[in-house]
Amino acid sequence: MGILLKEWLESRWRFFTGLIVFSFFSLLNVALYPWLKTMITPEFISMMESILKQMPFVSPEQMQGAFNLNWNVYLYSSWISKTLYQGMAIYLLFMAAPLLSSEESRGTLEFLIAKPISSFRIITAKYSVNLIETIIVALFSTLILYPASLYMNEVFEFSLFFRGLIQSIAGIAFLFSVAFCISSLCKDHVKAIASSALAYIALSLPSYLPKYNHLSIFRFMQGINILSKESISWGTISLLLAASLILMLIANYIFQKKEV
Amino acid sequence: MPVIELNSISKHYGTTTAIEGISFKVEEGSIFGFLGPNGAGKTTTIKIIMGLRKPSSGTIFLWGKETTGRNIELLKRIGYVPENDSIYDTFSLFELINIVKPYYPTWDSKLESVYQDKFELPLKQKIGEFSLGMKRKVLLLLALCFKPELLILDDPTLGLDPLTRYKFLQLLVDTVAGEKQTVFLSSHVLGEVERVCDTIAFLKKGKLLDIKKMDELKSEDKLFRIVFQRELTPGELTMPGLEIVESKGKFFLIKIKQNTDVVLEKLQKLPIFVIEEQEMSLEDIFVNKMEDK
Repeated sequence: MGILLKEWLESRWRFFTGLIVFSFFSLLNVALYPWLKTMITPEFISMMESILKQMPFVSPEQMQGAFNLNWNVYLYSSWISKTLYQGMAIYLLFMAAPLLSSEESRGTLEFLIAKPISSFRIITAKYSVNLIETIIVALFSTLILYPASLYMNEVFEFSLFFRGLIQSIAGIAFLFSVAFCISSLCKDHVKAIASSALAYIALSLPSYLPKYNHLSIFRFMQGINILSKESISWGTISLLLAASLILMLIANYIFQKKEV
Repeated sequence: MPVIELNSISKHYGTTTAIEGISFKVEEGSIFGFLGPNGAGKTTTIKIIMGLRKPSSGTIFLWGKETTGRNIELLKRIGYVPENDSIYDTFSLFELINIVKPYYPTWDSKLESVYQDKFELPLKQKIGEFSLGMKRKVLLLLALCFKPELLILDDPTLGLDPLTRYKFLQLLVDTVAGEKQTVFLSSHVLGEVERVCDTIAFLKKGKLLDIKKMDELKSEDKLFRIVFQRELTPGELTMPGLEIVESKGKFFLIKIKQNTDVVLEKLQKLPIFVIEEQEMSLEDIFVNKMEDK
């Protein structure tokens, strides 16, 4: 329990900050709705469509979401398909990348591993506490849309958002594991954050290639397939979770080999 | 059975040799001083004993059990104060204790309160706001509260001013006195280990030069600088075991060859203004001896 307590105490302010920031942006989408309603005229839509058609990485579903003023489609496309995954990519850099590297750069690794705690326990505690916190941030900032919908006298399509969240969370777990694994390789948390950012950029590259954009993790996190076909990609989710587990085990292997 | 036994331990980093062929035994209940100048390989040896680094060659036995790398069961019996005083700055002592405590089945909460009072450490204040001396006390408290069978202290007074160093050491002496702990104290300050250790090993450039019992060391010559309140009459300073090395008016540099305590007692009867032991570096005592050999 001690190591779980340590991880919670160390990450609590990052967690609370994430909770506040993501909730703010989530509610901002709700607050902008009445203003967008007055702004989006048929002329505006045709103008924007002609611009967006020039961009190969914007799908028809996204375009539909952008100008569809149906409450749930609007919220889903502006939150799950846009703000949440983009924000999470940045948030994960600060949640996962410093976890192991900062122990070395702060010089606390010696204190930690001189205690009778197994390496696996240290790794799993770091991984689980911080990943769970990140998932709670994603869940809370999405579920807060439900009372906001009630306040706006709109019907919140709970199952749509829930399915979209499952896909997003699988993506979050994978991106978290990538940064966590990179963290085990770095002795400096700044380098770990920068390296993870580069890895995320590399993972986003298929998004810009129409032929390969189905391979992009960020594309998957947008959950557009759920909005258009209402189907959830369980196969990809399983694959991402398995890859996350493997990355965590690799981080554990690297951590065990560390000398202080 | 020795608590620590090192057999021909070497550690190389590429072409650099940190330690070479280190062998020694630390008997149960002894206070073992591990001396050497900075960069001699003391910390490397300690980290190898702790399992935080793996030796390039050689074997280590702790309580008769051969060990390589971190051994969780053995770590439960070792209290460790590292040279590096980096602790989690954002935690309070209260939080830190609650993090560490569950991993030691022998943790004594009463002892924790005793040391907390004795070391005058605030429980709720952030460790980042502590002075270096206080951080050292935190590390010592965490190393002592589970009554470790072996206490390993790696340069515990490094970076402390002389007064704090004296107080810290006194605290350590008071704390371990009466306990049947084996203490392994690494230091680069001879005076420090002289006060507490019964055996001293000297390390230089990664090699173990010698291991000596403290009694043997105490019989070594000692130099004192003395300033008297008045000029002494001829013969006033003549006594067995004392040799005048240098004198100028009221100032004397003397060498006490034997029975230091007896000679010092006799000196106290003279009108002394200031007396101080000449700082004898490790090089003076050990290296000269090695060269003599």
